[in-house]
Amino acid sequence: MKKFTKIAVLLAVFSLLVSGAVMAWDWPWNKKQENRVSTQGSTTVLPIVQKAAENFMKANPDIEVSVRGGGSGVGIAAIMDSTVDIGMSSRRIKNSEILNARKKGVSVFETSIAKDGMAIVVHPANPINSISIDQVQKIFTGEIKNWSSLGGSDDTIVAMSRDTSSGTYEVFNELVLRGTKLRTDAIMTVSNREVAENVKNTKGAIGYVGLAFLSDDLKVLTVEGIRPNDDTVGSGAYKLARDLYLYTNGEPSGLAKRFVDFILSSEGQKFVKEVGYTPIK
Amino acid sequence: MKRLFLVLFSAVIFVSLFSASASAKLTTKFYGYQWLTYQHQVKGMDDVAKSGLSINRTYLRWKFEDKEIGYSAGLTLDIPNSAGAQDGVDFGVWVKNGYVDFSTIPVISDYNAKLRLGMHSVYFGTMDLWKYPTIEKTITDKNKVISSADLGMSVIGSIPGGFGEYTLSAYNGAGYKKIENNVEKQYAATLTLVPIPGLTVRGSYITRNANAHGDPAETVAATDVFVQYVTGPLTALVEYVVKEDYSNGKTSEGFMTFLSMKATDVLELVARWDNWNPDTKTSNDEMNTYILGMNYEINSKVLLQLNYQLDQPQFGGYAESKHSNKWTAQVKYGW
Repeated sequence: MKKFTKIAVLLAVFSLLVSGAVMAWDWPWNKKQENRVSTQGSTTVLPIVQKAAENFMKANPDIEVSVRGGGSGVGIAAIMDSTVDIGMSSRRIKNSEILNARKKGVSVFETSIAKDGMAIVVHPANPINSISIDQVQKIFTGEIKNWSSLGGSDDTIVAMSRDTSSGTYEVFNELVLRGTKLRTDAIMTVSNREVAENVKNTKGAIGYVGLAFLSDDLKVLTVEGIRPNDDTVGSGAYKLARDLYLYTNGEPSGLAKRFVDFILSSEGQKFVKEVGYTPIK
Repeated sequence: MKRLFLVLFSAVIFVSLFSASASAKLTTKFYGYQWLTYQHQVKGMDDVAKSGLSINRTYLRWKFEDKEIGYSAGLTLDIPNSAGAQDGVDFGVWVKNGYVDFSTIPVISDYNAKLRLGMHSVYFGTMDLWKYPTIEKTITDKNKVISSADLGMSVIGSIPGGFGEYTLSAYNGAGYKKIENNVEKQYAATLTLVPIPGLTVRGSYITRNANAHGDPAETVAATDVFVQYVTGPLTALVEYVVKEDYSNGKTSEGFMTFLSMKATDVLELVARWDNWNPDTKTSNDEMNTYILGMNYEINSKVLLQLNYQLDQPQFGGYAESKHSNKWTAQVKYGW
């Protein structure tokens, strides 16, 4: 008898919890329209989304768009965990990430919003003007250690890289390193901005950054004879180029769709250009 | 020969760990978990009760990764610690995981796969996937169908497009607490398919031979199939497992059904029903297990779990000593 009393009490408590939860649950069919879009992820994509968000909110004062960084991996994880509406990434989602998302019931949808050229930059005093992808690879693997090997001054090469968890590094690894190992003395940095700062301030330095991070204090090298700009990146003539992505759970809908559509609109693509990337439209 | 195998295995892992730690690009994560548990259990008709507050186990984990060379490694120390007043004292430290992964090995990497060497999870059924939404272990672990971790090697690969993954493994076969007992050989294979988002289907097969010469009469084989569906706040899972022990002609089988609902961002309600038949040739020895519970995420590092568990012989009476009511409150915290 004692047993049944205990079970009855437990069942009653559980039923109360379940019924309370069912009533409190924000079921999709009676979900209120929240005036908020959340985004998180790549620091490379962030300037575009930030700029677009500011202007989108100006045009729609009742809507709030939150923008947070963290890196491409964080943005994709946030979509897998359904903690944000839009994940930003400077690299394409990996097969293992798609699998984990699908297991959780998330169908990842990819929207390309811009193109970016990965500029090879050196200290402004460096006399070198052009470089090949093979030479960049040899520099970043440590096979070439002095600028004199490339016809430059007798200065030791200081290689600046992004940290290996960044989307930018993963693209560099795929397009330049191609299975070879990054030199052990490369200086690893946490952002494009830090790479740009380090190259600007270090004689003999070389690094790679997105086009949005170029300035007059950096010397941009032509790669395989091509200078990265909107035309060469857009046409694919510049070989170190990549797409920038937004990821959503399924095709964007509601406010997320309005915001993504805004970035893809002619007005949104103007912001892409303003922050230094190449529009896709 | 066995000793040589173990020494070579340890050497590979050791050299890999140290060579990687010399690399400037190695990232290392150190973290751990602890479980603080209070349990009140009443068994059989005589209401033999035992209550106890315990820190059942502590996990210390290290993970190493160097993406450039396609290398990663993991180490988990499992420190069980049960010091209940009724049970006496039982302490120990086990290496539950001590493995190295290679993802750039020719041929294997061509197929989007990696090789894992060392002490690692046994890939079978829900065993390697169970995140303890109920305090109770998964049905295969609870009924000792297989050990949860073992010394060996596995090829772990994925199907393009995120449609699934597979594992092919060869293990020592004696479990992570008896790795020196290297006479058993165990081979396992799993195939996991995710045909549509939210739906996971996995089939697993494992065979173990307790005889050094591979006598078929000493073989133990198990097959498992589970289906899981996740949609919004709901997760439903059904698992069926059958084990055949050719040494004694015994076949065991059972199923586990599990349902959870995320009531809020931090509160999950769970329910589970297991049925286990230890010997299909013996009548009326099936056991049912019913669990109701909740998981409350106090913060991202602390989880409170409350479970009521009834273990009940399907055809037995209340008087059966196997009959048990358990109330458990557990706090899992990590750092």
